[in-house]
Amino acid sequence: MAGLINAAAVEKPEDYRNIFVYLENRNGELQRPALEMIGVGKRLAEKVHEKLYCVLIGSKVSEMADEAASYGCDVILGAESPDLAEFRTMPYARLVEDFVKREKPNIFLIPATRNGRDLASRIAVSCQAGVTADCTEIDIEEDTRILSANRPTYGESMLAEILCKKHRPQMATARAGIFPVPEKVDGSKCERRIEKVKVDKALLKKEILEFRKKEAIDLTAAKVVVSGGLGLGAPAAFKLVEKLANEMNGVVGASRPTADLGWISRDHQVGQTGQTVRPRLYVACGISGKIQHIMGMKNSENVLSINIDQNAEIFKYSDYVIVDDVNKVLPALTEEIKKYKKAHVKKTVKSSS
Amino acid sequence: MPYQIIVLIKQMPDLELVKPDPSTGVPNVKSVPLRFETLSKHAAEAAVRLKEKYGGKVTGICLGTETAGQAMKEAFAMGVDEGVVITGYQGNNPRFTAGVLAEKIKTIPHDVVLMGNQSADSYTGMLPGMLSAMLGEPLLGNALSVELSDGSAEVLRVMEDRNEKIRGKLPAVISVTQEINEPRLPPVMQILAAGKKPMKMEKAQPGNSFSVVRSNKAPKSERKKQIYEDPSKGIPEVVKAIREAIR
Repeated sequence: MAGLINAAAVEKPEDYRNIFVYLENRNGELQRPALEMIGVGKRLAEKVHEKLYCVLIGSKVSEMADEAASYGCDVILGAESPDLAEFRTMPYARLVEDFVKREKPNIFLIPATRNGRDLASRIAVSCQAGVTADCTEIDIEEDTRILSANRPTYGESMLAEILCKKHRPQMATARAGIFPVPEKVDGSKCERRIEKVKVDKALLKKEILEFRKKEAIDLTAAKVVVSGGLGLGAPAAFKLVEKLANEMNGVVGASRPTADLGWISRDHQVGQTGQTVRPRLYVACGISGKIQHIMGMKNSENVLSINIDQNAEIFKYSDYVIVDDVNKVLPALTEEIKKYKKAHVKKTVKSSS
Repeated sequence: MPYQIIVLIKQMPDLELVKPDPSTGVPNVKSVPLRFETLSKHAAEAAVRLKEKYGGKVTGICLGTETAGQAMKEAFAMGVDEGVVITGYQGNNPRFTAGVLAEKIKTIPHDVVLMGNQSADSYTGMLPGMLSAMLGEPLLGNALSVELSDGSAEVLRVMEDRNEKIRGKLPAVISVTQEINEPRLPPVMQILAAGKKPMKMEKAQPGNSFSVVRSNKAPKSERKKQIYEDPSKGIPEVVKAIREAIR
């Protein structure tokens, strides 16, 4: 075990080439974090003139490979079996480990989802690699091909840049929801190496007994998110949040305490234990700005916050701040947007006539 | 049937007090007091509830600093029975932490190893999987509830878009979510009794790191931070400013 802690550095880092990304999928569908990883991987690969390899494990791999290829990648390494429709820790880890040992990638990026973390932590152990977790900025140094992995620390107040100089592959998990989905590319050529595999049932150490669907509201794709916090004062005030969200074609988010108190269902929660969003506009209504919440929204393009407390922490992360009671500001803001939209629509009609 | 339960305890700095040094931008972590980390507190609560339900014993293990005994005593007050404090924590370095903890866990007979799914200060989420791999025990991760029976654990776990009920054989590693419970506030008598529970102090062998931290500084804020104290003026201006975003 001491050997595990003090694992030897690889002798020739230059033998390790290319960028690996893991494509998260479920029931034969690529998930958004998979596409985010293709985007990041492509950028790194182009920078150092290497190839982007997508690692794809599941049940309908060939179909998913078509989609992955449409975003542009060089090689798809696939393992396919009906028994792999759901993420199963041991067989997935074993297959990914095989790919890594065979292909020796310089870099391996995995989304920091629940399953992605499970996978990444195991690969780091079995392949004796370093892993920088939950990165929000990822880059590569052109000359040294060293990964620059940046992760927030101490409750988002700091950003640490972490390098792994001696071990390969250089692994990182990337916070899901904050990297853009890349554009599709026409006529991308992509080499497919997809194997049909048999799953050794002895590897399945856990049984999945049942699935319970969550009322899933996907906040991550929304262009506008309007979130409510305890500053609303009462659950009924979420109606005001909803009205503003509707007016801007947005969705309703929430801070953790409001979900804890049952003011709104958990699936609206933004933050460390909820969803991570990156909308064009995030509106924080009566949210003080606890770090767990900041984690879920700080990469938003624009942040507007409304809070009666002029020392609210959220203001540090905001572009626009209105200091007043949210219950007064929300209706007025909704009205103002209505007014603006009307005026705007009229103008465009005039100019086109 | 009684169970032998291990719970992993962590210390963390009080995040509200971590501030960047104005001249260097480097956080002042060393001068900030450490407290019982949030997620591991939930894990301790879960461990004690399992003991109360099924019988057994809860052993706390903490890889921390010289002051980690304080967090362990808090865990004792909650109902943890005995503890091992290992000093020599090397900061946020999951591989090192997992290696030291796995070594220790192997020496203690157990049915369950409980821990938080990601700590509130470094939230790498790497430790449960690494420990599971090093111990060769299944990971039942992100638990919202835990039940034990007949040598196996049934866990309702939280995933991004759904919850799953899963079962795994014991011994198993179980990581808990923050939503699993509300940690108790121990009564005074238990706080007083906590000082008498057995606590071993040990030292970790220093280990190499896989990675180096090149910098750790407050990120430059790129927010505009325009503050409007008069909403009647502020609202129209804000709407103008955000018009592109809501088109």
